[in-house]
Amino acid sequence: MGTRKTFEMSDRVKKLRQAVLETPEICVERAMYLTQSFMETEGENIVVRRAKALSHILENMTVAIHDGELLVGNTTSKRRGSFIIPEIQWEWYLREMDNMSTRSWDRCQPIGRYEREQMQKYLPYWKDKCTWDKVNKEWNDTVLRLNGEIFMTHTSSMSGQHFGHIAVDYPRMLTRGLRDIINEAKSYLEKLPVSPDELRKYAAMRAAVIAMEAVITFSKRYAALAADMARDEKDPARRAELMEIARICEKVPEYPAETFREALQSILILYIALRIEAYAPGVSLGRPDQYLYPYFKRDIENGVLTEEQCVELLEMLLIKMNDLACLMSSETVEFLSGFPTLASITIGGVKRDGTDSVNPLTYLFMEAERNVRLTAEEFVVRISRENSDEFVMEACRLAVEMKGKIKFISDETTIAMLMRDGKSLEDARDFVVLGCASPSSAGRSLDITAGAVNFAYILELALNDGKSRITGEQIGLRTGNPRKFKSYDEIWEAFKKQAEYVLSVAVSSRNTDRLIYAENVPAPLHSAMLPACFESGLDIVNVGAKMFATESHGAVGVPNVADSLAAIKKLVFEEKRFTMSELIDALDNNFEGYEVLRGALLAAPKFGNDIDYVDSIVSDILEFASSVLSRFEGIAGTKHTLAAMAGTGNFVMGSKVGALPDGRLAGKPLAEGGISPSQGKNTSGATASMRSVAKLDHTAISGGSVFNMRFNPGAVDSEEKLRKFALMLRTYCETGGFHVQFNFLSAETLRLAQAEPHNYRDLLVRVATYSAYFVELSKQVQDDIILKTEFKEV
Amino acid sequence: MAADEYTAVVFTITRGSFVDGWGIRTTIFLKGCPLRCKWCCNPESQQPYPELGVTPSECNQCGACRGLCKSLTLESGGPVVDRARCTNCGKCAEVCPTKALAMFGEAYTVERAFQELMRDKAYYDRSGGGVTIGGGEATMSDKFTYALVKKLQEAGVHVAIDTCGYPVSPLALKVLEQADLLLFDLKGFDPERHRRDTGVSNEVIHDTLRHLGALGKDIIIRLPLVPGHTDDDETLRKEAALIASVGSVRRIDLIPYHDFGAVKYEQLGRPYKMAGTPRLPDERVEEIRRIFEATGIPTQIGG
Repeated sequence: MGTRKTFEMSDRVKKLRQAVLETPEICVERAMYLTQSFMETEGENIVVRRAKALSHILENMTVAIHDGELLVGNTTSKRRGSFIIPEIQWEWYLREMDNMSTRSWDRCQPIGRYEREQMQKYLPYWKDKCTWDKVNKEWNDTVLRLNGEIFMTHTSSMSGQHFGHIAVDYPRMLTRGLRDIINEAKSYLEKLPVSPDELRKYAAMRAAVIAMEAVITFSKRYAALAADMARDEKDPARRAELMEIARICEKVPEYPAETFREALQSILILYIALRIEAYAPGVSLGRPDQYLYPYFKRDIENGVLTEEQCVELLEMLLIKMNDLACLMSSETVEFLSGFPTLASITIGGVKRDGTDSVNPLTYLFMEAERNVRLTAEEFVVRISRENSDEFVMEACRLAVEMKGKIKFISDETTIAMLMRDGKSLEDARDFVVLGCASPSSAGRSLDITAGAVNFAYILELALNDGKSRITGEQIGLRTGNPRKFKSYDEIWEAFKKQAEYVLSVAVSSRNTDRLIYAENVPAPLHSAMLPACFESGLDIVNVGAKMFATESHGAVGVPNVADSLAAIKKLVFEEKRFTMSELIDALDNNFEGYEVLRGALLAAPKFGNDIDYVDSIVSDILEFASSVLSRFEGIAGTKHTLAAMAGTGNFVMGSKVGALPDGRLAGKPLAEGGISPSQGKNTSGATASMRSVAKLDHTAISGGSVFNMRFNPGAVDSEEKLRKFALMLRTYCETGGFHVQFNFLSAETLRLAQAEPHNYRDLLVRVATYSAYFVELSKQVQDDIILKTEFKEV
Repeated sequence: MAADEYTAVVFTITRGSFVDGWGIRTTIFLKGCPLRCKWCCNPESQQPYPELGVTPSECNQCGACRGLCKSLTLESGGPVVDRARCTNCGKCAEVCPTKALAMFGEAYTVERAFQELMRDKAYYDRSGGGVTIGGGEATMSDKFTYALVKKLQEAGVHVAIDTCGYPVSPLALKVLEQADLLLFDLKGFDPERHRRDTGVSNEVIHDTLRHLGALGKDIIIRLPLVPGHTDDDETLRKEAALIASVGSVRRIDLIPYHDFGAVKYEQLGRPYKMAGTPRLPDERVEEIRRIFEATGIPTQIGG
């Protein structure tokens, strides 16, 4: 067992955990106070307005301290709440108000009368003011035609969210305290701004002061509440705890944290304020085992903290991250079902100087997670050659105990990817992974992945002269009658033309979105917490992070495209088993009457089996798409990059695509994850699938990619097998793999959970890249998870 | 013929295996076996040639196989094959889109097998793993296996042979001597019962085991525990004594009887003689484990 120590959850932690397992409730406070403030500040500078709105929310929203809590702060007025983000989208909340508790995905509790009244009162203010309404007016007909057809939640406004995918500079805040940063901003305000840059920074500093003061006020409201509660508390032990809460919340985040617990409280309050200011999945804590370690070490050495107390505090922090389950519109939720929060914590890998980063606190974080294992907190484990076998074994053990959940990332591959994007070796080594699987640099960078492009659809356009096979509508370019294609190259050329066209529309759509975000929804608190933004006075939505900004486009269905192209290449052009005409007839008829032809297509080489013939086509597609994207410019020099991730969008995107030459029937889901092999097609063993993925050039998918595998728990049921598993993972990471995560669940367990959901309320599964409660997913997603190839003990 | 061109019929290759020897392994299964164990769970591995497997429940009545062959008729319940006339030519499997008709086994040259087996070299190296050649009985394809073992070893790959211990030729014995690790099956002690259960006497097998032990080869013993055949205390004690006397046995794996292979008998149109055999209760398996553990050699349940 090595360094591992086991700590059981205390009763009070168990109760706190139970409270966030409930079905979420809508909370209208954020929307109410935000709107009130915006009604009062019309005409002022938008950056200042956003800061004032945040301030108004934090001064007025409900504060509560629950039984047993040592760390305090709530994102909404509910134990597990959903807030409303009307500045991005407002209309759907009213439209879907009645079915949010009954829809097939991501249900919340029925909305009460008070909430309804407030929603009806405040949300209509945002008509034509929210980013989604504005973006819709800007998009031209081409973008409008493709959005929702080939793209999904492809822009932030489409998904109803801010940018997410960020870890601010927590260590700077911890060591300086907000007061010190406020004073720096105020000293700038003493000078007369003259140049346009100075004028812009002047406004930014005004906003920064307002936003940071708001966070301090928010914390002090908790201090006051704790002091009040302490006065009425009968139990002397709890009274002392409440007085300690009051002391700490009075001190941090205004002033530097001096103890481990102060540091945790400080980052928690800031974290909550950041989520309230601008939320999308992926608001993250960065590498807390690194920046909290000095506090931990000092407290342990001074004898003021035990490891047991440390684990309890960490458990409370992780549970707190679960108090938000953001509702999304029924359109968006199809892409991101299961309330993804993706509040990632990155551990393992190397430090900035290239040495092993794992410390005793790393293990305690893992121990806390072993107990908590909820959906919102995400553990990303970096696997480096520098890390010990013991650490990798512990991470694998944790993954098995949690039936999956842990996200594994190769240090070497990721550092190479980031350096190719222009980051320095030190910054690259300090990477974190945000959102689904996007590498980024904590405190320095904004790397956004928003939604996805349906590559299977692009292939359909190439094989149908630009028309949808399902609707017959002309969606893409006219690239010629596919029946007349004489060679594989002609098909590849047609695919490239369609892809270039579709990607250019994707970039146009995204850039429109970003320009509107830059003008309408700056995030002054986020910007104050990122040194590059703070110093330049450029807001984060206005690319204050400068060279550290990328926009990636998630490719969905690439394995289907490669499997299809390989089948055509082999069967039509090499073996001449049938003609292009016969193939197109078969596709038009969804293979009815073409069973033999479909059988041949199904038997052709498939991605995920370490067959170079088809794996190289996956590479061709990724490299081509990446090179196309790199030619486009984003706002203020942002780079457009490629990612391969599908969320749960492989279902809805699959529903738009007719039969494909990989043998997939019309409307069926596309390959899951991003570069996970098509469901049930990777039949050559786990290492074969790993090699198929690891051989891809991951620098072409620098936005990240997703590879999911399912193992039967029996495959890892002894120390010896677990050791082999850990070494298999290490080999994958050292030979070019980027990301992998696992479900350790047998098909039987999953079927049982489908039949008896009440007995499996906290059964976690991997959906795409995030964890979700199996029973909160739609049956379609559940079935797809069951269908995945299960690697057994063989 | 150059050694690289020797062929054997491979019925499956399993990559990323955590069993069948040390570390992470690829196991290549060859067709052809000198034994006919009643409980064999891989009946498709017994004959040394490719064989037609029929799974009528997979049939979608597309008719592609209709009229193709005199030994095959397509009926409402799926294809029916007259095994007496079928030559296992594989033409029907080629046209069948659903794999209701599918071939067990495909010929591989040494070179092709080698290329395939080298793909996971990085995984072997990292984990102390390698290649396991099983079957069937790998030594039945003696020329192929000998060439393959040498070629893999020259490339730095650890090679294990899963064997019934019944070499059919001097070269077959050499294959066993050449391997880095032997997964050696023992299937009962009494020679007569062994002959009834497997078709051959176990004297050769025991001699082979002692011979390999005398050479100091690393050996993992595998014991199928088949109720009524290999699970009585007397047999087990005698086997334990034999194993203890060999000297270079590193581990003992107990394989409790299972009927996972029954479906394959149906696919091959052969009777399954073990139908109705119960599985051993866990407590009994644990009891047996203790008998072998008393030899001082690590003993585990499962491979």
